[in-house]
Amino acid sequence: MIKKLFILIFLTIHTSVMAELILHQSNNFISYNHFNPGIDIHHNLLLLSSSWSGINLSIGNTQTTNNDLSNVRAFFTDLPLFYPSPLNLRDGAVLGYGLSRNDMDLELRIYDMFGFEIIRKHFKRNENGGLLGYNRININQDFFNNQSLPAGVYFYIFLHNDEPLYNDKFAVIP
Amino acid sequence: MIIIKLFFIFIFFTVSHIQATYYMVISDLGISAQSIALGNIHGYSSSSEAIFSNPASLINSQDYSFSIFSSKVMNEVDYLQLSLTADIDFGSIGAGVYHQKVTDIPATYQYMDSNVGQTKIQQIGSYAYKNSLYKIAYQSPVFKQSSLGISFNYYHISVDTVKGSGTNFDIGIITPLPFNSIKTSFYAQNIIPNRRVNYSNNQSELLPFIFSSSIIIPIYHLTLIPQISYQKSQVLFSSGLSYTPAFLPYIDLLAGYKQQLDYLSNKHQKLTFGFGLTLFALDIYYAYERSDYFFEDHNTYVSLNYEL
Repeated sequence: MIKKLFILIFLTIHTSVMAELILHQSNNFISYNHFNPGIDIHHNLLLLSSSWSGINLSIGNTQTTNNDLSNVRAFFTDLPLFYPSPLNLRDGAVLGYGLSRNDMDLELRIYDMFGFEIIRKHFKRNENGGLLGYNRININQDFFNNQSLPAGVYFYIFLHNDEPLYNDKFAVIP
Repeated sequence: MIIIKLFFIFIFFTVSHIQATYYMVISDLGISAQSIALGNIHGYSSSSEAIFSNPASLINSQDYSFSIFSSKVMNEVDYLQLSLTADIDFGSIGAGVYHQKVTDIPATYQYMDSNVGQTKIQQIGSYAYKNSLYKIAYQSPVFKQSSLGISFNYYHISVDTVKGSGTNFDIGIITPLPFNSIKTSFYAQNIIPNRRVNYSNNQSELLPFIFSSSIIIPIYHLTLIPQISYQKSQVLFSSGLSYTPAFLPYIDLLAGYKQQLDYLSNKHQKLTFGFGLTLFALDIYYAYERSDYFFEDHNTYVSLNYEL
């Protein structure tokens, strides 16, 4: 009886705080959306319980199938980088980056050192380059329409909905 | 005419049609603000910057000439040109350096992220890129008011720990036509065929042969300079127009049209504008052109020439 009373009191005084945790694909905490700003949770966020649904495990790669990510901001969870650096097109290279959403259409523009745009690529949602999580793009002569790339530094910009998402540079050696 | 015929015979045997990766000659950007404003035409320079263009045009420079040109393209690529020439008993001599530099290029490594079972890329530092062109030039007057110039080119490039270098020669002629004050300019870059920039990773890039011919046509206070050039199996047209008002003789208004190759040898075309201001022995030039770059609408260039 006393035990039931304690439970009743606890449920009465307990006020649930709705918040959505946003987790990185590798389960690193990124941020949260707080739906009850009347209650300060910024310094006292306590995760009492969690419930997961629709989690699909395949060859060690965890992917959520309950992907309502419409409230998630579009950004790079892993910033775009080229490997190796400097790269050469004979051996090929990889451009890797992580995306926060699964519905991101990306545009990549690459410029040479005179400021000319030399190539423009589109990566559609749910295709390689536009997948939720980590993407790896092969960089070789095919990528540049079978044209050779002289030694130099090249500048790239990722655009999402015609807005710049990230820009940086990479170097090429023969 | 004999010297022009000899020049073309020499060029004919020099031209090669090798399909290869070409080394990018950084002076293709333009050698000065004046040159860029005039559509990258060659043979019209009147100061020491001419050693990065047709060295025969050093005939137009004064006893001593110093030139500096600086720009930052896309807020990332630094360009700097410095040159100095002096008249001697039999012509002019000069030396110069043209730098292109980029810093903070990400150095990376790959690692296995065991949480997701994927190989990811991470930055571990940064490095710099530097490309330099060093020139030594000699110009001499030849018969019938013509001028002949030759320059030695030393190319040096470094990308992180990889370094490359190569050498070649340029040759140029400026000769008057038998009409009113009209001059022609013939300029050939990297005339020794199949010379390469050799890299420390045992790779190489071919130094491109580039040939340009322009006509300098003065019409009252205007000077029109159409140019045709050949490089990497492509023909490019450019044209410059300079106007010096009679009532403001210390100001030059400049305009140009240029076709230019990018790093993938695709052809682009641009209109350019600029002006020059002469203050005693100092010439200040400014050039403007539209930019393809997403974050910048335009590129601007400034150069200074000092003549003694």
